Amino acid sequence: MRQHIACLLIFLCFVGCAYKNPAGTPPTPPNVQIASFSKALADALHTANQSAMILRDNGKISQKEVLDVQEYIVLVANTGKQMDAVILSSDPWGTQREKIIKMWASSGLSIVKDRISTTAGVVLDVIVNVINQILAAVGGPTI
Amino acid sequence: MSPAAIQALIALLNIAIPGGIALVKDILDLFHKYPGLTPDQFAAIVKEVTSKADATYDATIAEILADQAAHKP
Repeated sequence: MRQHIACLLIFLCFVGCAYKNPAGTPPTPPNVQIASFSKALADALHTANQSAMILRDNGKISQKEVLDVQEYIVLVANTGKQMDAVILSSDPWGTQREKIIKMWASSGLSIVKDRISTTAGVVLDVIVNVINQILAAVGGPTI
Repeated sequence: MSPAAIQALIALLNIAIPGGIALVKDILDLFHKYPGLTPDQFAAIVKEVTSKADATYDATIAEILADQAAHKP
């Protein structure tokens, strides 16, 4: 599991560096940035689920804790899919941006996360980090 | 660079570099190498990346459902 988390952290560093805009190069369009974050989020969800199952199989967390984590992962995955649909739409970026902020704000993530134990919640840290990068990119409040 | 060429390049990158994570970084690098991409070409790349993201979301949800079915009390 540590290997998975380490890989994700390294990846986040890569993504963070990729978004720096060196002098003389045009900025990456915002919907392209969000698409990239969405792929990062999808990878983070997949790894988090794998990590939760490994923790359970090694007796570190209970099945109930895994179910709570998986509920959170499914919620984020469905919100991520909605976000992808928004950035593929013909709406102007301003409208897309507002929709993305609203969908994360109304996703109920904090309610589900409050039910998750500290031990099981560790596997969700990277997910929260990526969601906050998305929200920062669209100028919304972080979670 | 035509949309077809971009698609081919993305496909090549995906084969050459294991994992979608590396693919995302290389797509971003692509923008810096080819700053003259048109809006249509950007749209093609957004479509490509989101389709990969959606496939991963769906795979994870399917994996969760299978796991839950295998661990029913």
